[in-house]
Amino acid sequence: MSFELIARANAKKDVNVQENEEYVFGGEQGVTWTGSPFERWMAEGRFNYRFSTVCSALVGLRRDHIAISLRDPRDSAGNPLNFDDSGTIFPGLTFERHQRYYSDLISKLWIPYIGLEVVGPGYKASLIGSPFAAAEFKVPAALLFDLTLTVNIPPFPPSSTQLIASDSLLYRVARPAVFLEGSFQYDLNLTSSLTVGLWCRASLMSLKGQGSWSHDSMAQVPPSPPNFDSQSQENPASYTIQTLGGGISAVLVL
Amino acid sequence: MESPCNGRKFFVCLFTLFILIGVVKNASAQGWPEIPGLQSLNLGGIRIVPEVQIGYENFSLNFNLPAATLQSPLPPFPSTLDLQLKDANLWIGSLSAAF
Repeated sequence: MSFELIARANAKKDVNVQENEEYVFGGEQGVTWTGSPFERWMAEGRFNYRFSTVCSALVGLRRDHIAISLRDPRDSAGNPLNFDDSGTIFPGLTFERHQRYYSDLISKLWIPYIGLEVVGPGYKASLIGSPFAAAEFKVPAALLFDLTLTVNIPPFPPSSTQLIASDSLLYRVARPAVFLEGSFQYDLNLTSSLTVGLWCRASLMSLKGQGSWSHDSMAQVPPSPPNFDSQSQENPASYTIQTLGGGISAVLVL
Repeated sequence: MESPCNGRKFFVCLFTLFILIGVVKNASAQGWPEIPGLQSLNLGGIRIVPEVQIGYENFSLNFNLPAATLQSPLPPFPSTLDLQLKDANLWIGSLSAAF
């Protein structure tokens, strides 16, 4: 019987996140966000019980965390959805408007698993899985918008009208998920204490179940008081993660 | 975004390096020298086997949550969220210790 502690993380990197439809107003198709940065880390502890010369049973618990800050949304033509602009509608009537989208993506997984490891001359392979990984995925999002119209026709004094609006949304699903991961490693003993190897690993996490959606909005035309609205729904959601990777390893056998 | 080509180059280089290490190991008559100072690694009598992994990973994520049209005085609009993160190629590192 042995116990193993594992910590894993990726190098920070910007990624592109595709959104089929802009979800505050649903008006833009094919929105692309810059995920800056993509962060993922894992921590894991597992027991390894060898019950034959080549086979071991694995029992472990893994924590998997993903966080992406979504920035700079763009439509399918590459135009930014965040903007500040102003102009003249016709002589004497000008406008100024500002729009900002914010969103994040947060995934937390707790994966208790069992598995099997096979160790042979120069290689080891393992398969671990769980039908009841605890998954929580949420996407908070917000839209801030303001528009100012100014009428300036001499000799009348200039007057302005402003519209301020904000939308706050939260998409969330927290359900049991199915998890499966297979790995293979080929080892080469360089010395009696140092082994280098090639490894490859593939994994799949899949969740289907009820997710919740909530929307809080505010609109105001000062000096009138703001109007607030709040809605929520529950609908079937799906969430999947797939990985495929490989690399080199070094093991000290002392 | 990186092209998938970078991932393929990485794995070709990795495989070549591994083959070279194997060839050099088999060609050297006396084998590789032992690393000094690493003849034992114990913590209170418990044997520790450390391992380091470095590699490249292709990562994909999909999330879909349909939401019906909002009930508002404004024209109705859908608020379905359909997010995809496809083929993100990431460097990953792993540290582990077996006791």
